[in-house]
Amino acid sequence: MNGFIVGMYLPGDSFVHQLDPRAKLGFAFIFMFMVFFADRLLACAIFLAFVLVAIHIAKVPYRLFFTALKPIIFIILLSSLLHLWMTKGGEMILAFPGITIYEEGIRQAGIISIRLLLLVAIASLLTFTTSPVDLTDGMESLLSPLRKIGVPAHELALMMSIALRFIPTLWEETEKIRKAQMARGIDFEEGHILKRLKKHLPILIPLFISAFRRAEDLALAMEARCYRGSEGRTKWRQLHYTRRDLWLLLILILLGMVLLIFRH
Amino acid sequence: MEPIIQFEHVWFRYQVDEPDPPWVLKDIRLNIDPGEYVSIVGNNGSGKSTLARLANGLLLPTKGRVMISGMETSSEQDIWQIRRTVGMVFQNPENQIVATSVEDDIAFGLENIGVPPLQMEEKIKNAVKAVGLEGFEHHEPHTLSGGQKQRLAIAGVIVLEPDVIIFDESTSMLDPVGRKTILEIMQSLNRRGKTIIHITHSAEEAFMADRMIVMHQGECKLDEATGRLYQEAMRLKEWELDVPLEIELWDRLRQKGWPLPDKIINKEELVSEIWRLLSRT
Amino acid sequence: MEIVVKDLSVVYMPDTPYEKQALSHIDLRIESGCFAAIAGATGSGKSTLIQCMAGLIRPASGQVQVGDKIFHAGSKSGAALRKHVGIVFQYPEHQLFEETIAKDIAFGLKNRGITEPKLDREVHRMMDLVGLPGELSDRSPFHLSGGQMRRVAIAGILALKPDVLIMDEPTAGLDRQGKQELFRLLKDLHEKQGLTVILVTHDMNDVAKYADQVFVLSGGKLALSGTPAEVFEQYQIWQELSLELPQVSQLVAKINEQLDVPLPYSIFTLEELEQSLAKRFVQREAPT
Repeated sequence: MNGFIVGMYLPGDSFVHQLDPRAKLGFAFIFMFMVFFADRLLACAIFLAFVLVAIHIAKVPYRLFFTALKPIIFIILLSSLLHLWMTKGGEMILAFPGITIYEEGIRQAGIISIRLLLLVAIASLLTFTTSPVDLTDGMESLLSPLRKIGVPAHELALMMSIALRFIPTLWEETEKIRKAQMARGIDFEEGHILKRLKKHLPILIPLFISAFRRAEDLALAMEARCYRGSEGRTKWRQLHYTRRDLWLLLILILLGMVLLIFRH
Repeated sequence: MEPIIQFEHVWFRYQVDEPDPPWVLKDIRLNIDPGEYVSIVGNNGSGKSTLARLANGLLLPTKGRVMISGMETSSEQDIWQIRRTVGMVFQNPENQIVATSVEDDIAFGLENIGVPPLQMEEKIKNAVKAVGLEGFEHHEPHTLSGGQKQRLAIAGVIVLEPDVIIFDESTSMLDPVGRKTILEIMQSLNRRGKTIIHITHSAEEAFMADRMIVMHQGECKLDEATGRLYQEAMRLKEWELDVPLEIELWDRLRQKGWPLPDKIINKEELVSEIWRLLSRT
Repeated sequence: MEIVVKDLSVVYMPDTPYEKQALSHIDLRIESGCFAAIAGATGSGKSTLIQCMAGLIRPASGQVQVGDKIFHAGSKSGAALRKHVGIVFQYPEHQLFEETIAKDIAFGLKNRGITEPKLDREVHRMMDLVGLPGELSDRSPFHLSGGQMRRVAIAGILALKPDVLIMDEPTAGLDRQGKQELFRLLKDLHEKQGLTVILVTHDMNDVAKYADQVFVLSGGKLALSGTPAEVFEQYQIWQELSLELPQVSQLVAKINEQLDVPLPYSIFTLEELEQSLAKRFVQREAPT
């Protein structure tokens, strides 16, 4: 599973690991929301500092965050370049024929990259420190008040759990099919990008067929184990808030104050 | 004693668009008593897996009826009680596991039937022990071997305390080591009073049961205690099935004129007969 | 075509906490035109070994030589090997994807740049070879039985005219009839087409019946090699490796528990056991 890091959980017993998953999920959600209001470089820097400290406390190696960032580095670069070119205001810093770069442009580029970075970092920190079981339990519990207005909280959580359960299986299967098709003479490294995409059809079609077959088997097995939706169902794992979780509330208030103080 | 599973003139075919789909099962009459260890053998397409699915209401008969402990599988109000009575372990170990950790997967069935959370701990622990997965409670399923995954699937079924457990070709995708452990678990469950139904196409595995049912083209061709089946075993070839090696040897030696008895009841007896003949002076 | 493996090692995910030595210092030679079997428990490295031979996994050190093509850590790709070695993975029917059987068999040929009308001719020849009726060619492969789907997948590999055919657990999930048919096909390919066949399996009964050469892996190392007779004779080592001997050998062991003069452990087919017992029986009668 080379380089497969999305949704990965790193078992541990740090302060962050021991937080209640609902508290973490709620925190991450509000934090992401707040990131969009952090429109001052200083506020962004404070947020970033907070995340770096949190990573340190969680004892997650920093290099794993770089691996998690890899897939979106292109997006970060592109959006900061766009801001660099398009934003006007403040002093003129550089002037080339065709483009001029203003002070405000640099600021905006900085803000947008830090924002994206924060989003990825907080989401990865959540999955690195929360087991898939806790994650789905937390989600189900947070969503359950919405059941009254018709949100299928249990079904959503179960879907997520099954998805997390089968990611490694399907990943392995992809590798196997890829090799089998290579043995039939496909060279995945050759050709331009469109041609290469088309070459992946012989992988994708068998993968889909297999995923459907698995889904059918799984549905049958679940039915045989008396599954009939959320009705009359109990939960084995009971979540409990502790005093630790109050810290997250405090941090949220502090970060909110930062936003207010450095308001535009 | 009332049979725990009764098939009364059961006919089955799949509902498809074709005008006259073929019968998958034809007039099956079958009684299985509590505590029996039964194997059902047949080739692919013989209808043996369909038979299994009819036994816990995953499929319903087209004609006739299936009774589980006196409850009819077509009854909507009894179906959940029927599924709790008859548990089922499937072929592919990978596709039966729902949760992202071993103990949570075992808990899945308990949650479904609404067991109070505080009572689950004990039951999960016992199920883990029964299949020998101690120490793996927190493991993620994809880190387990095929045999271990299948043991997890069994734990997920026995935690619901069913009276009957059907193994639907549950050994066919495993390596010899995995297969052996699953067969041992079957035997130990049977010793503890569970009714075991093992569906397989391996004659060798089928002969481990006390009673063997041969399915061929949707019909029940043979239903006999395995001990009594030894002298008829060469007939298994009629239905394209394997014959256990010791029976093949017994048959060949008899054809060569060895004075072997007409009946043998197991491998041990054959071995001691051979020994008796070779060392007689 | 001859395969020579020299000092082959493979490491998975090097320099990570998950690093695993899959193969260490394997040396072996599979003779041209031979029917070889590779056996070993799950995780013994047999699947890695055959993928190296097929040019799909790069050696960390050492080399694989197929005919005059060499594949080692520094090779650009394994493509040169792939031209000579066909590999059929476990449950090969799971890799089918085209809408008709003919198109699926033709897939590999098309990748090699072969065009109509030769393509069509080859596809039908392959269908005939693996025993699929020609009128099925325009049907969807997904409506076939499991055994037939497997034949389609095998035909797709055979169409590439490999000199060496590797089969990973080819009979998994098949019933007795399907199994017998598949081995008949394998035997035909080996004897009539002269293919070098490498069979990977857990089932020692099949090894006993079909193989000329056996290689047993354990923990990424070559534990035993030789003819079936030589290999199955090493009765104790098999128990240490927790591998199953052929059923006949197991029966011999059981009979020997009671005999003063044991039967030889080199017996591993029913015919040999029968003959050996008959001989004993006659010897016993002669003096009296």
